[in-house]
Amino acid sequence: MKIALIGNPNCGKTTLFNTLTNSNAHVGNFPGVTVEKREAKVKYKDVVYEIVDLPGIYSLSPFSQEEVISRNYILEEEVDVILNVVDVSNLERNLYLTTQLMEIGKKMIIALNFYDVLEAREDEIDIKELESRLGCMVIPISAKKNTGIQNIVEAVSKDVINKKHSVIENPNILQAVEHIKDNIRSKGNHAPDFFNCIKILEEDKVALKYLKANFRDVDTKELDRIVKNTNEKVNVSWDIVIASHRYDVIEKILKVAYIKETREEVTVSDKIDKILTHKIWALPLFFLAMYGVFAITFGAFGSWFADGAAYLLDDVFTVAFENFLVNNGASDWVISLFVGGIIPGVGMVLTFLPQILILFFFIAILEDVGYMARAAFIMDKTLRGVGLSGKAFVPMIMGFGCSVPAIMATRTLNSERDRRLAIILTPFMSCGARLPIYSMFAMYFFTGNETTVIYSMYLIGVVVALISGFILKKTVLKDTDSAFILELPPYRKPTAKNIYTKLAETAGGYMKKAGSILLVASILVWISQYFTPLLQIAESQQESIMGVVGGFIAPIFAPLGFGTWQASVSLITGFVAKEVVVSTMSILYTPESLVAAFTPLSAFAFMVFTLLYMPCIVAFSTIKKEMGSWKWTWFTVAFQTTVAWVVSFLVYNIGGLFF
Amino acid sequence: MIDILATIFVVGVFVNFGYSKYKKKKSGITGCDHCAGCKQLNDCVTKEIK
Repeated sequence: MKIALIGNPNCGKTTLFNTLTNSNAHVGNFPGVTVEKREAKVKYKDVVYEIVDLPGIYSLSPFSQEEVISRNYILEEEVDVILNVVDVSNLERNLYLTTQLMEIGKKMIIALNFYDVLEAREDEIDIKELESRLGCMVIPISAKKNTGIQNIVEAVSKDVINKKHSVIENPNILQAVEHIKDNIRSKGNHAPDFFNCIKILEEDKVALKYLKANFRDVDTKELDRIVKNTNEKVNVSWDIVIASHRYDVIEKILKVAYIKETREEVTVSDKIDKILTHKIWALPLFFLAMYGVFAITFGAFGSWFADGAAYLLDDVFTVAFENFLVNNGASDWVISLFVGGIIPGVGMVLTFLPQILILFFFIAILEDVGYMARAAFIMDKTLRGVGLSGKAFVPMIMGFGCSVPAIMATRTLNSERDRRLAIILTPFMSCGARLPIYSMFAMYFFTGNETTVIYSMYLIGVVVALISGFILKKTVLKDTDSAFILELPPYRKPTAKNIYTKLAETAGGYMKKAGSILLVASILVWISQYFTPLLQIAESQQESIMGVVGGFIAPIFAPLGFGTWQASVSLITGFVAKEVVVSTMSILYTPESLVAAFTPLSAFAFMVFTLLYMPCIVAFSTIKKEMGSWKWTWFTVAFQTTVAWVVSFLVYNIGGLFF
Repeated sequence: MIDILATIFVVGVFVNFGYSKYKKKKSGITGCDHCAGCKQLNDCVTKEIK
């Protein structure tokens, strides 16, 4: 039995999905977290239920890609039960989608989520009344607190049908629907369903295509004429008439079914928003909050963990392992492979895991509370200046974690131009994989100023993205501005489960990466610096494969202050994964030779280059997949690498005038 | 002895890495499998809960 979870963005679908299936998919307190469907199977009383979590949508009129995914799925797949998740704190808007879903004619159950919040406000919903008005089962739940879930499971397994198939009562609409049905019937077809007739009235292109494909002799021009003719009666386009009628019906239903406690209408969220989204203070407060997070992560507190981990690695583990190898008669190459290759290559990256977890802990809290959605709202004005809508900031914020999901999240953007622009700019947001690079350089070159230096990397990423957006908007990606609608979710208490899930995922993913790609890369780097291109043991690193390749490309980076073969080759290996830059450098340099090879200024220029240059190979393939064009993919890579070179050049050369 | 173990270890690392990539390709899973962030969008994690 297939059950599809559908509802507005940020109504708690993914939390319910996780609760029902015991999964740990990512949950965020801002709209647009799910942009693809996800599936899981659950067995209950010997029946296997296939549960599908669909991206959040406001209506069944497909405006953006994730809306198309959800709509197509519901209409085309063999869905047995539609589980419509409704956020009770915003019933009117959520029920709009419900009234459309009813018309599909499949068994539907309504889950009233966040019911605990409603009860806390001492409001009440007459469930029986709502059920009779909507003609289907209504179940109050709290996905977060795991209440009412059992009732859903029971309801799904019950064999009941919807008692109502639409809420539309307006005679003009019903008459127009009949005209459409008559027309299609006159061609020897059976009448199309109510849902598609309504969609034709709304001049929905997808519905017209469906009719043409599934019904004989359907003349879309004739249908169009019917729509226009019947439209004369109401004088406004049908989609507006139908939408406003739906809202009228919802209002009537809620008048009787929603019992509201009389109180002052200003909510706690409104009060907090007055400060946090203030037109003057919002932006400084946002940057201050982020600085605070960085200060804790990279200041004395976070550094204590990083230093401790580095001590354990260098002075305890490496020494003990080297002694073990020597005492057991290992050959020189084995000692070199482990002590000079694998341990520093993988270990150095791992020593930064505590700091990464601290940073992600705070970001997870800000996200869960609902502050990150405000960040998009706050950034809207700034982003609009460069031709992007604030909605583009959601994928950009995700880009601080990893570019791959962030690039995929650009699907929430409505216009193709906005998507392209966001895909090109998102990798400028400093992803988690770059953190070990900053941490390593900050540790060696900016002692005492780690927070400011690392924070500046994030700011430079944002500023470069804004300037690049402005340039691209004026040149290759000219278009009109698109509207920005982003819902501000209410502030919610962060839950330990969400935070733990995110941290466990980050730590697990990091360890997995260390044990797979970083381990392989470290061995390959070690081999490339141990052997010459003729596969003889290199007498000096300069003669090795790495030395030769690095020496060849080093002049490109000389004007940026780091024209050494080691630095150059590290940037190439960074294409595999950004952390490999650290692995490579840990193998090619000793701490002393690293400090001698860079000045603080050239170290800063190197950090800027790693921040901005082409993303890792997985992000590259995601860009190709999402752009659907090699031309745009190569343009993105060339653009990012050129920007990285130019900005690093400016940093090094202008900085040289002062430092 | 330790040299042989080290050689087996290195070969094992590459075989395991290659096999995991092959398995992933064969399963048709798209996207990134090395970063936690990707799980947010994973439409392919299908769990059987018995």
